[in-house]
Amino acid sequence: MKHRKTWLALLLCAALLLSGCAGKQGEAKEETSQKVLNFGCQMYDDGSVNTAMAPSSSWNCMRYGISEALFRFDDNMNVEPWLAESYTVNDEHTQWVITLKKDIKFSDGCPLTPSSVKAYFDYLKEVGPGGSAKPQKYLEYEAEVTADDAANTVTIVTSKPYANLPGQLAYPVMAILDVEHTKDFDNGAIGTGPYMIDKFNGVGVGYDMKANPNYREKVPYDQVHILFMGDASAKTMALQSGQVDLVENITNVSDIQNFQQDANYTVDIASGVRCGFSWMNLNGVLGNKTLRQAILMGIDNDTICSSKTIGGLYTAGFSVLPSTLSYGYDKLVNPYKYDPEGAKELLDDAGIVDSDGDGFRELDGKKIDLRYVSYENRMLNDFSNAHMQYLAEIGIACTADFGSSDDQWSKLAAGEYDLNNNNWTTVGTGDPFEYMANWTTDGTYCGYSNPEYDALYEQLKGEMDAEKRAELIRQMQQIVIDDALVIVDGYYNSSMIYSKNVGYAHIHTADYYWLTTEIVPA
Amino acid sequence: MKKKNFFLAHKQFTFFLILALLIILGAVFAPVVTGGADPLKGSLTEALEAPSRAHIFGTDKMGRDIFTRVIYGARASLSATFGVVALIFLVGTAAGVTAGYFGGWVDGVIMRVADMMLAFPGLVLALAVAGIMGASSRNAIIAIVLVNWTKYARLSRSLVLKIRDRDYVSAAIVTGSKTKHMLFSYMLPNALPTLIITATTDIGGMMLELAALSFLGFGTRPPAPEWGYMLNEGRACMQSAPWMMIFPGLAIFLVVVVFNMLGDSVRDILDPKEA
Amino acid sequence: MKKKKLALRLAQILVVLVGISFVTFLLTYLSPGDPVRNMYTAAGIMPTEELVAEIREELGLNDPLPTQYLRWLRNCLRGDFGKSYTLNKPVTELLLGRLWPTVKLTLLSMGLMLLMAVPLGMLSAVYKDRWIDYLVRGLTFVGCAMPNFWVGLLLMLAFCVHIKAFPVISSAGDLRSIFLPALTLALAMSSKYTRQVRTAVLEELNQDYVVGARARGVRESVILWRNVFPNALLPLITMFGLSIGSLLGGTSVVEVIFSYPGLGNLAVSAITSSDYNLIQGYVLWLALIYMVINLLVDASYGAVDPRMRAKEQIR
Repeated sequence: MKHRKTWLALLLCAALLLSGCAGKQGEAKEETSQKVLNFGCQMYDDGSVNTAMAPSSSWNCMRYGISEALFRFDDNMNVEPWLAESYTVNDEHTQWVITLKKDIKFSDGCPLTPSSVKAYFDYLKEVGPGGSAKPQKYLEYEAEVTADDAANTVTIVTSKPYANLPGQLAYPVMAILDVEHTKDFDNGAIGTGPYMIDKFNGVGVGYDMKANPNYREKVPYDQVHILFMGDASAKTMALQSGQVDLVENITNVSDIQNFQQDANYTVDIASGVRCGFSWMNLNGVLGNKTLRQAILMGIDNDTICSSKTIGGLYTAGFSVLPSTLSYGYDKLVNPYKYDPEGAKELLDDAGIVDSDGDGFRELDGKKIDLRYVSYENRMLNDFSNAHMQYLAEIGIACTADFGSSDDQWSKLAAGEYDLNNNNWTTVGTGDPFEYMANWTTDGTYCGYSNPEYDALYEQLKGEMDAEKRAELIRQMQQIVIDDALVIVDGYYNSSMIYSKNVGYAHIHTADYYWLTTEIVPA
Repeated sequence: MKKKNFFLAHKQFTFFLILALLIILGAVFAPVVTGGADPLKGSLTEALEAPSRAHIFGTDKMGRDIFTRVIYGARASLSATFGVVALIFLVGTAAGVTAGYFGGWVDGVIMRVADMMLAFPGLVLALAVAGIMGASSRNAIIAIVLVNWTKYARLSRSLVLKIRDRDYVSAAIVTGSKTKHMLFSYMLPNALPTLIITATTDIGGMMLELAALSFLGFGTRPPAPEWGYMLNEGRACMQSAPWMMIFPGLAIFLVVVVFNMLGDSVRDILDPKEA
Repeated sequence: MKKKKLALRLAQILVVLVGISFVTFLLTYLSPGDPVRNMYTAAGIMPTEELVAEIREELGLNDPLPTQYLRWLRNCLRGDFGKSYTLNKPVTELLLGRLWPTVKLTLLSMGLMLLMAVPLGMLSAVYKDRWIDYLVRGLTFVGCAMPNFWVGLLLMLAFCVHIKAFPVISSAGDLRSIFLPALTLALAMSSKYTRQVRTAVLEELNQDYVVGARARGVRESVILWRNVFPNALLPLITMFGLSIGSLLGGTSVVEVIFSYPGLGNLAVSAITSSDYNLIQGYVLWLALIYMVINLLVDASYGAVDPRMRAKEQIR
């Protein structure tokens, strides 16, 4: 009796040990004979792979190697066929005939036919309005899609001309899923990609993936374990300890430098077509243009990007399109260079002063307190903190509202913010067309409405000449800059880091492609 | 003279009392200790620098001086902790003395409520309150007070019960002493020593709970300096900038040690047989 | 424990549960956010005022507090804790998925804590004022003062990165993954518990019967294991029961640090996204677990202490 308690404790431990070992045993046997990749990555949108409902989910689906689209981008953001074999387009750019590749199957064995493509596009029309992915941005709902299974072609007739429909169709939302047989779109989407979902391990945990037995090429890995990791240090430590073999985007400068200097690891960096920027909500106190101008003048982008905290992982800039792209960046003019004294003067002259002596300015009698929504991804929270620090110096108070990526997106869509920091791929379809829709009256998330901008956008829609397009885009950028609509963080340089267990991995310019067949075991 | 002898006789108590006072003074006179530096100001050109002559604890991600933030952080941590302890002391003692003295249904109700609170794992309820009411320093304090007042209620109640039935109390009632007089002249003074011991020893524990809430992000919001939150910030840079994590953690540890030792010494003085 | 006492305890638990449920419900009722608006915002839609009013009416959110509470309580009793706004799944499903990992973690921590605290506490008491006593007292004192998340971070740094003994992301759920989180929890808890063990054993050692036994020439080890330890068990078990509360609370912090997919981790993200249904569910379930464990602890009194059993028989 006296030892009962000790025995009980020992029994418990023994039970746990046994259960733990039993759980692992099955897996251990498989690992020795199969090629397994452990991939650590950030979780977006709770890990959902529902391509139709939210942009992040569609990216997850493509990144995890589950879905493929009709077209894709090479590293110069040129469009090339993927599930498609070739295409023809009429002169008016309104009728596209796309020939599919032969013998492509979904991971459940069903063949990819023009009918399945049409079924997917119809599905998008059906569920699109209920989500935030807005598939109509890539292919209008009015488009007529005809499937010819005999000729293996899909014909798309659009009501308005598209300059580059293949680029639009390369966007992850337009990746083709087997609509007929997918039961769980959130965590069990069926696509044509090299890997398929074996098991969803839960929000915040990850997926167990296995090779698609019906893939048209040999798939390098038999299994891939996707582990979700919250922050850079988790990724770094997991890679160092060997728990994962490959990670994407470590956003800690010294960690990346350490990996670069370590012969056991390889760091692959792609220069940015991503722009990090903070929306300013014009439906709030930031509807005041002087305030916005002063904010831009109060923030020193160059110092932030060159600091140890950001350390070159971002390239500084003042436009919403990266300077590396050819849309006339060098011809753009920045009227709001870093000038804190000028900012203070501007605010003082406009009567936005600190009347109650608490160190912060008021507007119309009420203290300005900007709600800054941000999330921990690619150092956005660091930028947000830095911005708040600079703004405090010119007397503008902010309150931090840092949450998950899901929160940031939903607050943006619902307009519940003053400042909302996020990170976008600017040439998502090889062309900044629908990225620039972010500042059109219908497509914006910040309450901006400028007929001049909308007119340019309409023109852009119909303009097929590349040079003329570049000029239109340059003008649109200048409007965004002049109206002080966003705080630009900078242009992000993405990375993939892998250990000796991986033979080769590559981060593409368009970061829709993570788990590709290029990634091979050592 | 008597006072001086008292302090000399109880060396341990005096030693830790002085340390505690130094900590409190350091927090109060933070601007003096840090030479006028601003814990909220930082220059990104000096971000993530290792401890050096200019910044003896190094700098954090925003280029703010960690030493300054640690000293100012004492203000947030200490004021919140003392607030919590004072509140649970007052609320708990009031509830317990009332319950013990009046007995009957008053006692029943108060004790059932206390039982209910006790049935909550402490941090869980604190998380719930902070989560539902919103993350802020004030809500964190409310949350922790809600959970921890019961200990004082129980303690004071049992102490009151012990003496309630004594003769001198009955005598006082017979001679017509008012309730308030009874409570303050008889019940409280008996309960006070034990309660003070508990309160002093609790300072350390409450500080740790508050730090845990802030660490999870449910206490003070950035950029205000607070030790628990600074540990959270340091977590991301653990390998490259370990000083971000070491110094706030050390600060918490040292302050808790000092107050724990102080509590122990107070117990030794007020209740030597417990040693 | 006799049936009557058991029934009484269960009734008590029920009353307390109801009370707790009311408190949590009250908190949500008083919270600044609007659940309907939260629901829509979580889906990325900005609802119009009319829509919000309509849905509020539909969900019965304009009814008086007692009505709403009773409705909610009825649902809970049927196992329906509502739906999580952010994760779009029923709360029950989400909590169930994370329940077993947290229970595993708690059990292992309890086991480790007992393994560390009981022997050390006894050693410290038996060899009072010798070097081992000072060592244990010093260590536990230090241990009580260290924030458990700091300990966790330091352990992670040491054992996951420098000495690659354990995984950084503890999602696999096997023993290796759980060990460090459990150890972190156990270390924090055992510092306090060791001291309590020491006090309890010391009290016993100072009892008259010990002096008597020694005088009679009974061997020290016999006194210790046959008499002192069993008598000290009762207060030890009581204190153990009390410390479980801290343990359950501590799981939330530790799970976050080690990315362990348990209830605590889920709760923290629920709180970050103001997912009230999930938070409520979490609080209720944990309170229930805590009370069940305490019930078991109380039940063990009877097994441990014959006097308790005797008391019941007399009654």
